[in-house]
Amino acid sequence: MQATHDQLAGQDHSAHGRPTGLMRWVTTTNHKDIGTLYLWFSFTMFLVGGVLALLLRSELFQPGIQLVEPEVFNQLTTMHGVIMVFGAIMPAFVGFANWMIPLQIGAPDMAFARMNNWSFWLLPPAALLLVISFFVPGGAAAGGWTLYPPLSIQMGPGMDLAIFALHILGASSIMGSINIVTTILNMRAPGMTLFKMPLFCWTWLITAYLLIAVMPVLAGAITMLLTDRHFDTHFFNAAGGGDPVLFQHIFWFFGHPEVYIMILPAFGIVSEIIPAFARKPLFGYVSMVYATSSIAILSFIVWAHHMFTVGMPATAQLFFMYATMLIAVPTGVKVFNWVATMWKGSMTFETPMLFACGFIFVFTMGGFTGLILAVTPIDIQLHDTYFVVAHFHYVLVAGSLFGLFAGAYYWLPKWTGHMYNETLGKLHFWLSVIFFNITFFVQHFLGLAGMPRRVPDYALQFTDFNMISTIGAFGFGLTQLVFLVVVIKCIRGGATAGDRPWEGATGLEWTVPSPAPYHTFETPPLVR
Amino acid sequence: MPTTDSELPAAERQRLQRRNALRTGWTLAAVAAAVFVTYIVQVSRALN
Repeated sequence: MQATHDQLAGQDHSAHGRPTGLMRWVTTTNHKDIGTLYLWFSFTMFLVGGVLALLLRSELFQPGIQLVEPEVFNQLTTMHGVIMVFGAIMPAFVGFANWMIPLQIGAPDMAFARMNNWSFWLLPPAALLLVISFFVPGGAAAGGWTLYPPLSIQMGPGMDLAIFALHILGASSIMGSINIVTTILNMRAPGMTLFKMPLFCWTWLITAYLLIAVMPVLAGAITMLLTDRHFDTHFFNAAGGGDPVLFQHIFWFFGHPEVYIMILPAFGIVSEIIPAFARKPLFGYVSMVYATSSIAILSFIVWAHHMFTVGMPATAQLFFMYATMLIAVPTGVKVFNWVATMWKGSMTFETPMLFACGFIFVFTMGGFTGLILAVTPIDIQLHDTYFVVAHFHYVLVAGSLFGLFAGAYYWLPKWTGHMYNETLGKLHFWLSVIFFNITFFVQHFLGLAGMPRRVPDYALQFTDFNMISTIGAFGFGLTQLVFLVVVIKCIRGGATAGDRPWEGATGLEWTVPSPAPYHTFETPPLVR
Repeated sequence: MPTTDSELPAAERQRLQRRNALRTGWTLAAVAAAVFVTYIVQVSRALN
């Protein structure tokens, strides 16, 4: 890809003066500023959700009630899930999208820059609602992140705050997605056809379509929940003729695509990093695009595998089982392509590549346990056990989070103008991957032995594995502080990063200086 | 009309980008609103 870059990209602000201090961040419409805001917000929420997780694991260190009452434990599990999904992982990927999509397609900014500002600034109030819900009468929402009725209809005002927060977060996501689709479809540089776009842009384009399709479904479901709670409707209240199982269908029609919303952008990041550090073009670029699209489409027809135990006709069980298994095909295409890209490459293992390789290995394990859970009779045995908890943490922590870390290390030099500390980066990776497995691998055994999820107490025979898991969780949590140190050190100084610090990296973002100037591509580059 | 055509004059590209962006944005917003309304209406009808 040959590109020319506008030398005037770093224009000054002599006409109007560049906003400074807090107002720069409140009023900014610059995609890089907003990307930075998203990333810091999501990291903060990651730490908040992490503290909740450590409280859960502390309670589970030994059998019996140790630290928190059972109802508080349920609040902690619920808010850990909601905060990690909606407050940490999703905003982190939007942060990456804001920073990188305009740079990768040669656009000066996002299509709707002011709406972009609004999308971000909706998040802190929503996060505040979630956090303060712990302090209202009855405490925070405690029905699980899935908000199933009848529990969610019966709870106190904490549930209303959670519903309101989810409405706000959903509106923010929809606006962000509209911005991303519009930017990619309309703002690409001359010559940047869709099939010349980096994979990260492709995966985000597909993710944004998914978000626009399913976020309103969640909004509809929780709106009906709200009217059931306060306005005497009976959508999901069996006492009034409603159907609680219907909520589960609607929730998971949103919820399963949501799972892919949290993983597809990570696929994109890994698809950028592996060719760069294998020093080879990505194997099967077009098949990657089609595989991503296939995963997105299939995600709409598998929702009921989350609820095999509610009772459904055998034909429905078979349909959802086989449809779920079908997703292994495009996912397998992706894993094959990543490995084929590495095949006979001149590989080096800097931190982004380590996290990308770790991602493939551990995410694939999560994929396999997903296949096991897709089998209806097995799922009926394992439903709501720690096997499920282990499965989705392999996919969401080792998948999404490792993808995010890989991307952060890969683009930190472009964002800050400095190289990060490689030793600390590698320490972060190895401690993360070791402690992650100590935490979650044993949970497979707990689940297979029958330990249910969302309980503060358990039978004596589960003690050893729970102790191991808790030790691993604290190790994993503390390890993330290493990442914070790496980022702060990188922002404050370090070796100067060149425009293209990774010799195998390709793409328009590496044609601009490091750190990327405040304004880039005001005159579009020409892509050949 | 695609705005990635390298033959397009800059001003024309900008005009097209703005027009197409507004069209795309409003269309997607309408889709999201339609999904929201459709779900509530369909659930209401299914339960009655």
